[in-house]
Amino acid sequence: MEQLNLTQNLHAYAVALVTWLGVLFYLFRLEKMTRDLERQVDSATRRDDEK
Amino acid sequence: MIFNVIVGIWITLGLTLGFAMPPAENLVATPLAFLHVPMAFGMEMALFGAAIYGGLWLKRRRSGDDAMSLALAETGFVFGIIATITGSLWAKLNWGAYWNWDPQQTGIVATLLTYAALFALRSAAEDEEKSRDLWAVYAIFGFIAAIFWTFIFRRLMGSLHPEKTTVTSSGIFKFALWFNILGYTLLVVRIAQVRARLERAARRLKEITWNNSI
Repeated sequence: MEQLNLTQNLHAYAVALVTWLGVLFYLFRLEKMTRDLERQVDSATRRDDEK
Repeated sequence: MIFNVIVGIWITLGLTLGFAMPPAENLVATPLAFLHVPMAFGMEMALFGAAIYGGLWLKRRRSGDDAMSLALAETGFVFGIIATITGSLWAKLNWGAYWNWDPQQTGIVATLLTYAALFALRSAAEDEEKSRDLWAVYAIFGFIAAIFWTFIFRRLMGSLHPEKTTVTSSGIFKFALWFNILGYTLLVVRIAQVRARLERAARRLKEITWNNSI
């Protein structure tokens, strides 16, 4: 049983944090893509109804 | 948006809590454990959800169930890749090498390969309805395979991985671990929901374009 030194612990923390922020960034990108596509669907549906 | 902010704060707090943790029994203390273990749990939850929604598609024939099953499997797959990579970094600190041919390590890779094959099989079916039916069966089969590779295989072979850390660790360590596991489970649900919405919108757009072209 041993405690990592502060530098090692900070490195590990940085890796964990960067990974987590990467996942969060992916979630926000995915949401933006979804909203854009849903807007496209709405306008295509409206155009379809107008015909 | 509010859900994202809550999950964001939750997991950042969880990671910071992990940073401040004392070592678990016979292990080097590292905040990576509080990313790796919840990610692996998140993968299992997602694959379980994919099997459930696959079963629901077979029963109810609702397109949304199939989209959710696929979204959960994809999310679980990504979480599995991250769990494997962060697990290797953790292994280097604890066991001296990134890859140790530990049954748990090989088991998670076998699970990922199984799902990679299932995604390929789904995309190979030309008929949409048939591909959804096949996928539902694949999702159920895949989850059974995942249970074997990640839970049974390691017990049959004996593993370097610590046993029952989530049960036998000290109170504060257990709290931090479960706090993170819950946070990542919420994250899995959120990502899968958004991914399923994207899939449904893409299908709807394809349908409209198809109807307009005939």
